[in-house]
Amino acid sequence: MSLEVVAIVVIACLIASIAPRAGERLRSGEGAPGRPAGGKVRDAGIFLCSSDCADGLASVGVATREMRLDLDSPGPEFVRALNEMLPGANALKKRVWDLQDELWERLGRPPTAQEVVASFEGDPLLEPMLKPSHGVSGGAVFAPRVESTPIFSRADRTVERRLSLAALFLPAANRERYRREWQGEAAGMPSAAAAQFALNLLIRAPRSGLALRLRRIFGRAAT
Amino acid sequence: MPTRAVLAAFMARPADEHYGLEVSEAAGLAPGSIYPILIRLEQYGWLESRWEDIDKHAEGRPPRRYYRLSEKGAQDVPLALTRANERRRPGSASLRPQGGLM
Repeated sequence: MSLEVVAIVVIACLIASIAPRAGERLRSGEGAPGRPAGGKVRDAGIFLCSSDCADGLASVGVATREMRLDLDSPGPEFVRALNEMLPGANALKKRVWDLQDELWERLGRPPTAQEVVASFEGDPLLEPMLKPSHGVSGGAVFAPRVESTPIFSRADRTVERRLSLAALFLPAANRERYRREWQGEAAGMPSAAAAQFALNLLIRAPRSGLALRLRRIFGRAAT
Repeated sequence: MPTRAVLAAFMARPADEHYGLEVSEAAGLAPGSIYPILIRLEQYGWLESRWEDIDKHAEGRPPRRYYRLSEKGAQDVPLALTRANERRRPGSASLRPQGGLM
C-alpha cells in the first residue's frame, strides 16, 4: 500500500510540473470560456464550415471577398448570421463539440484549439472544411489564428489541474466517473469558488481513494 | 459529525435528489469536502446516484451526478441517526466541552 501511495505522489508531482507548461502555449485571456466546448473553438467550427459553404453564402448575396474579410475579423454577428443562413451549420458545430469532448476524454486534459482542428482530419463531416474551397481555405485561414486562441483561462486551468490530481488518488476504474462528476459540479461555479472546491476535493482525495480501495480489497462496504 | 450532517441533509427531503454542492450547503460543510462521505454511503447502499439527463451542449455545462436515499437508506438512516444521538446523550463520556468533561 505504501509503495502505491509513493507512486501516486510521484505521478502527481510529474503532472503538476507538466500541466502548466502545456497550458502556457495558450495565451490566458480575460473572459475566455473555460468549459469543454470553448466558445472560440465553437465559433471556429462555424468559420470552417463557412469556407465550404460559399455557394450558400453566394446565394444570399455574400461575396467571397466579404467572407474573407469576415474570416479575418470574425464577430458574433457573423456567426449568428451564418447559423441562420446555413441549416447544416448546427450539425457541423455539434460535431466539433463532440470531437472536443472525445479528445478531452482520450487525452485526459482539455484539448488545445490546434489539437481540435487537427482532429478534423479523417472526419468525414469536418475534413472537407479544411480544404480550399472557392478561393478560401478554412484550414489556412484558421490555423494561424488558433495558435494564439485562448480556450481556457488561468483559473480554469488551475481547477482542471486540481481535479486531475485529485482523480489520481482514486482507483483507476473509478477515476473517470468522479472526474466527470467533479467537472459537472465545478462548471456551475464562479472561477474562484470552483478553485476552492477543487482544492477541498484534492485535500480529501486520499480519503476518497481509501474508501474506494477498502471496498475493492476487502470485498465489502467500507464503513 | 460530518457524516451525520450529510445524512440529516438527505433526511430533510428524503424523496428528493441532490447534487454534491446542494448536499454540502444543506449539511453546512465546505464544497468538495463531502465526497469521501458520499462514496462510503453509496457503497453501504444507503445512497444511490445517477447522471443528470441533459444535453450538455444546449445547457452549456456537463451533467451533474444526482444522489438520493435508497430504499435501504430510507429505512436504516433514521434508526442509525437515533442510535448515534443516543450514544451522545448528556452525561456520556465525551472530550467535547458540551459533554461536560472539559
